[in-house]
Amino acid sequence: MFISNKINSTDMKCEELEEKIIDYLDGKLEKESNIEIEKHLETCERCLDEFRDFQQVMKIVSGKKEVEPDESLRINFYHMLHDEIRKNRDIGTSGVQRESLPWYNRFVFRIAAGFALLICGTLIGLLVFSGINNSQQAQLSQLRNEVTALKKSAMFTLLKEESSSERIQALNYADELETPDENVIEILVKTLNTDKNVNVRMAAAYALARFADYQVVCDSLVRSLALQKDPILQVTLINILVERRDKNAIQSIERIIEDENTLDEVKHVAQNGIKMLI
Amino acid sequence: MKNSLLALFIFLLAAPVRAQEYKIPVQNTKENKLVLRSFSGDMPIEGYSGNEIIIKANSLDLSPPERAKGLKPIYPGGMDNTGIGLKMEKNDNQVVVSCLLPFTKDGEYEVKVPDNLAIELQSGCENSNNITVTGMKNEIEIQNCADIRLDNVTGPLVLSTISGNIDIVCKNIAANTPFSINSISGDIDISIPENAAVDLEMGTISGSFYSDFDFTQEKSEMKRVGGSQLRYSLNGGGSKFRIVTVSGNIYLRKGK
Repeated sequence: MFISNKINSTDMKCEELEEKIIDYLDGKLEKESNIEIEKHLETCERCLDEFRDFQQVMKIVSGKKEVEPDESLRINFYHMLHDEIRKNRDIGTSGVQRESLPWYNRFVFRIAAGFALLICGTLIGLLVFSGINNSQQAQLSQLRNEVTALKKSAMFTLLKEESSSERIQALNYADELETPDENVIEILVKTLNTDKNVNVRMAAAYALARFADYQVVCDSLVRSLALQKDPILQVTLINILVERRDKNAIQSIERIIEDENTLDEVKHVAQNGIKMLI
Repeated sequence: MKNSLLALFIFLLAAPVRAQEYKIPVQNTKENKLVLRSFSGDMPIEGYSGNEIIIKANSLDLSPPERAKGLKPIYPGGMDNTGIGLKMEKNDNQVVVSCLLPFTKDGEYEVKVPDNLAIELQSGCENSNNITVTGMKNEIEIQNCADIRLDNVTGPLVLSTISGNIDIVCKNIAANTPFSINSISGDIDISIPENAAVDLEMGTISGSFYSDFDFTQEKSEMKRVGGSQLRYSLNGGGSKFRIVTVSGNIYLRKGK
């Protein structure tokens, strides 16, 4: 073992060096190997050139690595820090090196600065805050409008649905509208008079009842009463109109009482209604 | 042993004659609707987790007489394409089944339906059938003249009857589900979960309201609009319930 190593070390070939050169530069080799390489480099110019190239490359590569500060740097830093702390403490206690403004001036200046900051802060705060408030309120009311518009368009879309419950849901949206527009009233009246499902027609009647303060709505309810054959709708419409004390309804209600097809329950409601209207 | 086996054999032979079945496969049940028209007699409808509509006719009257061998039955309402006195039409996302039998005849039908299919039932006063629906998870729309009985349903419900009672048991209610229930001269009895978030609107002309729900919370607004009408929000409100009857009472119960 020892012998073979010895032989190797003395007769180190260029290829061998090439293999080991990076490790050598990284300092990862045994002391023995290091000596071998150095010996070889002293004798072989070609390898020395190569070695310098490698050295160059390694420098560049290691430049990218994080630099570990060596111990001396660390000690120097603490020294400097220590010195600095001591210097400051000296100044603080003796006050020799401090001068410029007298203490009261500094004090007044500080207070003034404080006030200035406070006022600026408050002003900025107020400005920013009121700005947000305004824009928020604007956003809120815009949102509200958008929701109303959405509900309206949802109503118009849903009213075309095949499913009765969806049409009822649509009319529930109309229930939430604060003020109706012409289109809304028109489609509500149309639904009240033509929808194939009685519950949907009922929902339309209830939605319209909310707007019965408008004479247009009241008039269309009176007209609808003359058309409706379904007892529950007759009862609902009579109630809405009687509650509004709409005398225009009398004729339609009387006709319902006279109609022999009218259910007894409805007749009863109609007769009570007439009594209240006359 | 031998006798009982023979009896079983005879029973198995007899079964298909006794009760005829007609099956309608349905794809994408959730988007589809079954419409039942002009059925007479009580016709129980039951939801199950499958994808076929199964209509069973229990009446013996449906099998044609001996003389009709080689002939087809003809009905004024259209062609029987089911073999059990019904006309079945499929269009878009609807399956429409109309009963062709005269309203004096009862096919004693039983219907099993995929439980997430929507169903619509229309029958006039001449049909006088009490309708029972159980275990359905989609919209139920019924226009009837006699009783309506719904058990274990979720809504939406769109119900109306002339002279029958309406009894409903809801085990759970999906959010934002409209309920619209009308009756002329019958009582309306509804059981809903105790925690159901509902905006109630109830009205009756000559009847009364009864409930074990708490209607005294100050936060909710209780309005008396006109005769006997009240609005009230239960558990913060949500699904809109409109329940109206002319001469019946309204019973609103907490579900067990």
